Amino acid sequence: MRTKRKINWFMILLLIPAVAMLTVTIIMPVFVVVGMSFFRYNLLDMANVHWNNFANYKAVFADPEFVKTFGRTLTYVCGTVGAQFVIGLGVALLLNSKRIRGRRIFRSLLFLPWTIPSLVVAVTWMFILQPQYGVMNYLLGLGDYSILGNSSTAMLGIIVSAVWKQMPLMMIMLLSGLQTVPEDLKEAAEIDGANGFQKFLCITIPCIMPVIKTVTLTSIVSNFQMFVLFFTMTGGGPVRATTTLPLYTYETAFTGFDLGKGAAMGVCWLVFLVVFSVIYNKVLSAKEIEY
Amino acid sequence: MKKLYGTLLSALLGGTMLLTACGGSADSGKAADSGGGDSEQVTITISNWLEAEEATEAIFKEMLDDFMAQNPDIKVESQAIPFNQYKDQVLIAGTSGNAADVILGNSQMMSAFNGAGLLAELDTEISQDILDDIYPGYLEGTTYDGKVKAVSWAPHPIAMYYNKDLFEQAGLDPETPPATWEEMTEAARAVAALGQDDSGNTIYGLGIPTGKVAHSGTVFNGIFYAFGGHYLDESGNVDLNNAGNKAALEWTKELVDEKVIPAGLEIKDLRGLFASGQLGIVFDGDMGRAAFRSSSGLDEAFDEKMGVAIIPVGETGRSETVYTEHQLGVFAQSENKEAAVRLVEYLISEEAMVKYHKSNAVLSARESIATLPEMNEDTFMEVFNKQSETASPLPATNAMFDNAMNEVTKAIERIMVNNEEIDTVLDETNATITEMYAE
Amino acid sequence: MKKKSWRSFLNYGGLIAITIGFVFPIYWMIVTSIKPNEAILRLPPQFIPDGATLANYQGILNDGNFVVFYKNNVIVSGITTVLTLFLAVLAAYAFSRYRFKGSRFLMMLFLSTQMFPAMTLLIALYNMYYKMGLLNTYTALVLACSTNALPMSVWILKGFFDTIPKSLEEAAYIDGCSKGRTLVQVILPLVKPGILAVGLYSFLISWEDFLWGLTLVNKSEMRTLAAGIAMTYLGEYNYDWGRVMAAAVSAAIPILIIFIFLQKYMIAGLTAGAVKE
Repeated sequence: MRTKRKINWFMILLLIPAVAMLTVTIIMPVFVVVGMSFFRYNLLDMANVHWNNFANYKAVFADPEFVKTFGRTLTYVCGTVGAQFVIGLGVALLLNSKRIRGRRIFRSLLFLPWTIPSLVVAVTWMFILQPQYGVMNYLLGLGDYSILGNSSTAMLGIIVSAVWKQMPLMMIMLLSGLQTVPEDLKEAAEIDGANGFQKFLCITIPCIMPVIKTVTLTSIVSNFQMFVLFFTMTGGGPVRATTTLPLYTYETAFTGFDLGKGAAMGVCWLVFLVVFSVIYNKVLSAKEIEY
Repeated sequence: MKKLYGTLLSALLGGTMLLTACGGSADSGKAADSGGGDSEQVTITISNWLEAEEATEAIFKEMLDDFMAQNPDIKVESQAIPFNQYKDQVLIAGTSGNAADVILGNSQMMSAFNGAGLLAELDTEISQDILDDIYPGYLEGTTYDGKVKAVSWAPHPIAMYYNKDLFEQAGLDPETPPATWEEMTEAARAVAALGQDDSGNTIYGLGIPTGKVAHSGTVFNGIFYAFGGHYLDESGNVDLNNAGNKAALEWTKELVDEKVIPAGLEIKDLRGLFASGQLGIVFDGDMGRAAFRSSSGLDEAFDEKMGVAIIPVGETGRSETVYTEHQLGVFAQSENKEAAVRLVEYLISEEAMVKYHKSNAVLSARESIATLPEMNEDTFMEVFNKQSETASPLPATNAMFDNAMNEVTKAIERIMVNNEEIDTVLDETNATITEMYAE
Repeated sequence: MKKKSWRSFLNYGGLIAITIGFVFPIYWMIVTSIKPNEAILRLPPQFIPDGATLANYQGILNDGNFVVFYKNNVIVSGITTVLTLFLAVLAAYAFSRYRFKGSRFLMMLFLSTQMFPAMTLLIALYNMYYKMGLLNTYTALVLACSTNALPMSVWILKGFFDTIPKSLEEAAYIDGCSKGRTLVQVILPLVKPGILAVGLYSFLISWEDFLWGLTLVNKSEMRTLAAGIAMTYLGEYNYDWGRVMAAAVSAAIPILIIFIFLQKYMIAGLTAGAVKE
C-alpha cells in the first residue's frame, strides 16, 4: 500500500459510472421514499403532507395484519427457497455424476422454465390449476377442488409455480459449484473409509458453501419481492391466505391510498433484509472450508 | 441530531413536492409537438384499456379517428394500460400531474380517481342538453357531492343468460326462462342434477361470482338487492348485517354446498364455463355475449344456444340488479379541458354510440339515444334495455369503494370457501369498512 | 454389480421424473397454443391435440401490436445488456482490485438497493422519469432495467476478476501498458465466460420486466412484451388462454435459442462468480 495517500483516480474513474447511475436511479428515490415514511402522505389528500411523529411506523406495528402478512411471507420464502434448494441440489448432484449419460440434454430441458417471464408463468399455472378444466385437477383426480381458491392450498399452488420458474437457476449455480469440488479431496476421504453420505456431508457441502450462500441469499431477497405471481394468480386471496408483504404494501399504497404507511412498511422490510443478510452471511461463512 | 434529520428529510420531500408542482409546465412540449401544418392543433390524450383488447380495439380506434376527422384542430393520442393495473397506473400518473386529459374508468375506479382529486367538475363544461338527456339514475352514479365528475358512457346492467341445450336436457322449457327467484333456483338445481357430461365435465346450475377480485363483491350487491338487502342504509352508512343480506348469503351458501354454484370463481372463469356448456345460468352484463362467442369458438352461432332474460323477480317484487359501467372523466389539471370535453361529448353522442352499439351491443345512458330503433333491434337488446330500467347504480360514493368491495369479496369467500359464520363475518366486515370510510 | 445397476436405475428414474415434471408445463403451453378455444376449456384435456390450428399464432401476428412489443423488448433488453455489462465490468474490476475504505459498504449498498420493495418506489420513480422527460422512451426502460440487473452483475463479475492473479497486471505494467489498456487487452479476454454469463443474466432480467414496462410507458407503440401481453390478452372480459400461450411461447423462443448456444459458457460463468464472493 505505497499509494495510500495518493488518490487513485483510475479506481474512481472505474466506479463513477455505476455509482452515478445507481445514485440517480435508485439510491436517491429510496431516500425520498424513506423520507415519505415519516410524513402523512395520503393520495386522497395530497395538499396536506406533513411530519406526523412516526405515526406511520406506529400504525405498521399496531397492525395485526402486518405481523400475519410477515408470517405468510416467511412461509412463502422458506417454502420456495427450501424446495428449490433441495430439488436443485438433488438434480445438480445427479447431473454432476459422470455415470449419467445425456447430461447436456437434461440440463437444457431443466433450464427451460427460467426463460419464461414471470407474468406468463403466473398465467400458465393459473390455467394448469384451473379447477374445472385445468390439467392438474384431472391428473390428480381432484374433481373441481380449487387449489388456488382454498385457503389451505393456495399458497402451495403459488410456491409450486415459483419453484418451477426458479429451480433451474438454483440448479445451474449449484451444479457449477459442484464442478469445482477437488477430486483429490474426495479420494482422500474415500481412502479414510468415508461412505457416500459422509463424503457429501463433510466434503461436498463445505466446499460449495460459498455458492450455497450466494444462491440462497439471492433467492431469499428476490422472493421477498415476488409480486407478479401473487397479484395475477390469487390477488392475495382467498380471504388473505396469500397476502404477502409486496401485496400488502401495494394494497396499502394503492387501494388504501396511504403512501406514508406503505413507505414505512418498505423501510421495515429493508431493515429486516439487510440485518438478515449480514447475519446469514456470517453464520454460513463459518461453515466454509478453505481448500 | 434528530432535528437535523427532520430538516434534511423535509428538504428532500419539499424538493420532490416542488418538482411535482412544476410538473404541469414541464410538458408544454406535449401540445407543441403536434405540428402537422395546423398551428392551432392541440394534442389531447385519453387513457383506456379498450385500445388493446380484441373486443374493443377496432371500434375504439374508429371512434377516435372519426372524432379527429370532424375536429381537425384536435389530435387524440390513446394511452392503453392493462385493465388489472389501470387504476394504480392512472393514480401514479395523476399524482405527478401527468394523467391523460380524458380518463376512462368504471364506477369503482372513478370514485378513487375522484377521491384523489383527478377529476374536473363537468357541470358547466358539458352542455346542459346532454346532461339533461342522461337518465337520472346514471347521472347520479357519476355525481359526487352534488358535482358531476364524469359521464356514463356504456352502462352494463347485469341480466341473466341461460344455456338452452342444458335446459332441455334437464327437462326445462328452453323458451320460457324462469321469471321468479324460486323458479330460477329450481331450474339451476335441475341443471346441476345432470351431474357430468359425456366427457366428464362437471355441469353447474348457476354462475354468480363469489371470489378473487373486488368485482365479485361489487356485483354481489345485485344479489343483496334481490333479497331486499343493501350495502348502504338510507342515510348512506355502511350496513352489511341486515336480514336481506343474510338471506342472500344463506341462499348462495346453500347452492354452493349443493354444488349448484361453483365456489370462489370470478366472472372471467364463469364466462369460460358458460361458453363451454358447463353452466346452466349465468348473471352477466351485455358484454358477456362477445366473451361467450370468442371463448366458445363458435362466434355468432353461439347465440342460438343461449337465452337472455331479465333477472328473476325476488323478495322485492321487481327485477333487482346492478349495473357496472364505463365512464368518462376529464383530468382536473388538463391544459386542454375544452378539447377534452369535446372528445367526451363526441364519445357519448348519437353517432358514436350507434356505431359502438353495432359492433359491441353497448347501451347508451342517454334517453334520446337509448330509445332509438337502432339501439333496440333484437330481443337481446330489448332485454338489456328493459333490464336497465330496474338496474340500480353501484353504491360507489366513497373513494374507498373499491377497497370496500375487496373486503366484501373476502367476506363472501370466508362464508363460501372457509365455511365461516355469516353473522360474524358480516359484523367484522362492516366494522372494517366503516373504519376505512371514516379515515 | 447388481447394487450399482439398481442405483443407476434409481438415478435415471428420479432425473427423468423431475425433468418430465419441469418440462410438462412448457409442453402444455405449446399444445394449448395450437388448440382451438373450445378444446381448451373442456375435459378430458387433449394431451395430443385432436386438430392443431395455427389460428392463435396468426392472431397475434396479424394483431401487429405483438410484433411491436417484441421489437421493443429486444431493443430494451439488448441495450440494457450492453449498458449493464459496461458498468459492471468497470465497477467489478475496481471492487476486485482496490480495497479502499468503505468498499465493502459500497458493495453492500449496491446489493441492498434490491431489498427495497419496488411497489413503494413506483410513484417516486415515475415522478423522477417524468421530470427528466423520459417517460415513453427506451432510455427510461433501459435505465430502470439496468438498475435491477447491475448489483448482482457486479457481484458475479467481481468473483471472476478475483480468480485472475494480480501478477498478470503487474507484468503488463512493466511492459509499459497503461491501466486502461491492461484491463481491456489483458484481463477482459480472461473473463469472457463471466461476461457472457452476466450478459445473459441481465438480458433475462430485462426480458421478463413487467413493472417498468407498465409504469414508465403509456403508449402502445412503446410497450414491451410482459406489459403488452397483460394489456392485450389479460383484459377486462375473459381469459384468452390460447392467445396468451401462443404469445408466451413466441416470447420464450429467442431466450431458448440464446441459452442453447451459450449454456456451456453460462455455467462456467455463474460458478466463478458464485464461488468467490
